[in-house]
Amino acid sequence: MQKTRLFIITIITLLAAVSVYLAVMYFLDHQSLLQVQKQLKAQQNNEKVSIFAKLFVDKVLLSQGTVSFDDRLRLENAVRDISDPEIFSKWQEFTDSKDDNESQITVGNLLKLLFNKIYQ
Amino acid sequence: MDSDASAGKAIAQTNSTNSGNNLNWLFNVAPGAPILVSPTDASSTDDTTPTLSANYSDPDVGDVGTTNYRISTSSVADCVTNDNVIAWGASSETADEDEDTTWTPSSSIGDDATYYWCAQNNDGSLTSDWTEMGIFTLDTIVPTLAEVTAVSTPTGDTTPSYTFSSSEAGTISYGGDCSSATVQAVSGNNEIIFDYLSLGTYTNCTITVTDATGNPSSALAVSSFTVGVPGGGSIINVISDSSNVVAENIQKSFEQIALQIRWISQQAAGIFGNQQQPESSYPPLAESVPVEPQTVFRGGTVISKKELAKIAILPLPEALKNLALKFPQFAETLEKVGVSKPEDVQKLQVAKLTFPGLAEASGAIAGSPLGVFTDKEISQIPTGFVFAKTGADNIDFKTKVSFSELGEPIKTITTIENKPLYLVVKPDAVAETVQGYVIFKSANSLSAFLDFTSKLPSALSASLLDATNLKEVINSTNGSEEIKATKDIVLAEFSYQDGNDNGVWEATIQSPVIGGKYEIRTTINYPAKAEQKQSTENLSMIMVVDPEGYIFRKIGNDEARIPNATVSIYWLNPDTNEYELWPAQDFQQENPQTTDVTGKYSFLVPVGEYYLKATSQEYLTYQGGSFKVTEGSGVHLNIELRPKNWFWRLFTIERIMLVVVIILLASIFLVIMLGKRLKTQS
Repeated sequence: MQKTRLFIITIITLLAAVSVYLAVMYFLDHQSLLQVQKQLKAQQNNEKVSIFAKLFVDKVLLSQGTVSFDDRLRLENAVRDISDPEIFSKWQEFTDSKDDNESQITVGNLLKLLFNKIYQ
Repeated sequence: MDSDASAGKAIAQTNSTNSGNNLNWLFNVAPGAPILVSPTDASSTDDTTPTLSANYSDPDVGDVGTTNYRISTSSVADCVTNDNVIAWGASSETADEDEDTTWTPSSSIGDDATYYWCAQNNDGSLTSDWTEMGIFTLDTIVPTLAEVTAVSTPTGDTTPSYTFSSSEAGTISYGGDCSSATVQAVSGNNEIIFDYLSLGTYTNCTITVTDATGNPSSALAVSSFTVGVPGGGSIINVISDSSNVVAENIQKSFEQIALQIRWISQQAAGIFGNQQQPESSYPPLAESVPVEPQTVFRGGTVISKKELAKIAILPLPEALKNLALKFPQFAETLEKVGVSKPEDVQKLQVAKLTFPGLAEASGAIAGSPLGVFTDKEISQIPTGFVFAKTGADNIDFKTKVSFSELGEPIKTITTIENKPLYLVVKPDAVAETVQGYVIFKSANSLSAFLDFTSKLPSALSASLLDATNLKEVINSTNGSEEIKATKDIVLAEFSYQDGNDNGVWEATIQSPVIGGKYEIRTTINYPAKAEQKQSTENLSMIMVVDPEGYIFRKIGNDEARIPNATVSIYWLNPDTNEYELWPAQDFQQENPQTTDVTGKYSFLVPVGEYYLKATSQEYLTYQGGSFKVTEGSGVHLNIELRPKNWFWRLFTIERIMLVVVIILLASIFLVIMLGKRLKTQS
């Protein structure tokens, strides 16, 4: 009887130790995974911001005339694809600009934010 | 006896000796106008018999009295005239100095409305003026609440939303286990987010709205809801419960377990920091991208294109970047060949690019002299770039550009000896002076170089000889090797002028008289700015000077220059599609040209199709094949002329001498043979 109890206690202790060990390992691996996911997300985000920034420079800033509807649609889709409310807000401020002075300011703000986002 | 002193009304004689003296009388002074205490101005009350209160004051020490009250419905209330008064009365108790009196109407003053009230103090003998009117609102209606959208149950959301309606605005109070950061209700629908709710079922949540008057609504009972799983139990409870129910409940139990597991996983994810970001909300696409473009998309309004182009080509070396900024075509070329970073510059080292002349680069008609440029064309002249022209300022030299390993552009133009050269440069900013220098780099041949130095002043000639590899060339070759400069020797200095004061500086020089390479160095001096020194910018361009062409005839292996030969150049007139004598006078040249003893000639012609013709009295006429000139450049072919009579071409001195020798030998041989025959016969 004594032996049986000792055996059960030993088993339970071993199982508990293994469980704790596995839990710790899981936690550490999960942290690593989160870190990698975070980096991946940052990279994907940078790519999206870069695509939009390039599109913005090519189609808007360096355009020789009126930006076509298709290009504006591409720009809108590209900026929404970033899923960043801050960038979208600056983009809206830019598109809502009413005159040269305002557009100069808002375009500066937008570009600054884009570069900052990529840097992050 | 009823003596009325200015201060009041006499009420008792204090000294009977002289009743005519006011000092012997006691006077009663009227109390002061009361100060309204409550209800406070513009306040609300739900009491239909509101208690009014005012402050009593009386200058007479120890004097007591009452306060008269009136309640009116008039918006232009006038207590004195007693208009629209619906309730009135006096305070029951007396008041001493600076004490409040109160009065309560004996019956309801009426329906919910705005009421006005005023008061007057009365000491029993005299009364004060009526006060200005106070305002209060009678509001007996309580807010009515109703549930609009209940919390869906079960819900995995630990901060569920809930919507209820209220008939009045007011302050929200929560009862039971629920609470929320939203504490102000508006009249109409109100959506609230409950604060974090742990797993469980909520049945006791209530909401109450109290309006501004203080009327609380009846408590609205929030419909029972469950966060996580219904029943509010843990997994163990759910399993335990489900083990006792019929089979059809098993599936439900599993769904509950699944729901709870999902909830637990959400919580666990939260613990591990893997919370999902809320999704962004966007306006409709049609709103963001209207068919009519917004102002900023209409072109030319956003920002200086030039400034932005700097961003687009930012990673390239400075000199390359500047060139791309000034020539959009070059920027396109860089993009097409994939030059976007410093490492890509190697691709350009094998290329020799041609940059447009002044007219083309400025958008002017080809061959236009600078004097006829419009203001717009002048404004479009690329800055910081030296353009070369010739003829009557109407032949543009295109500039060939190659690149060093560091991406430094090497600009080159090609001209002919001793021809006029017009140089044009537009500085980046207002310049003070622009200076130019012609610097010797190399000569094509030793003989030409020595011939050239012999014509220079002795000091310059000596410097020039010392600054070249002349000794090495003399010691190692037959004199045909190129003479290169080992130091910078300035052959000429000239100044550019901004005659039209339009920021475009011009200079006219003559190309050197011997073929070779020369550097035209242009130094732009910018004026000193505040607290800054004067700045300069150096622009370099290599000028390759080709020797003129010449007319010659061959004599054995040697060449003899032919003087007085006439050389003509013909061009294909695109209008008539026929060859015509090229109108050289329009380009400050002569056509045809007559050679001197050196036999030299040359033409500097614009783009077109040409052929050459050379004639001389004693020679056959030369007519070359047609050739194309793709850029302003020199025509300087060496042309061989052949004598007209082929017969005379046979009688060279050597041949005549040979014939004479042969005749003499034959004569000698004949004489000898005749002598022998005569001996034999004799």
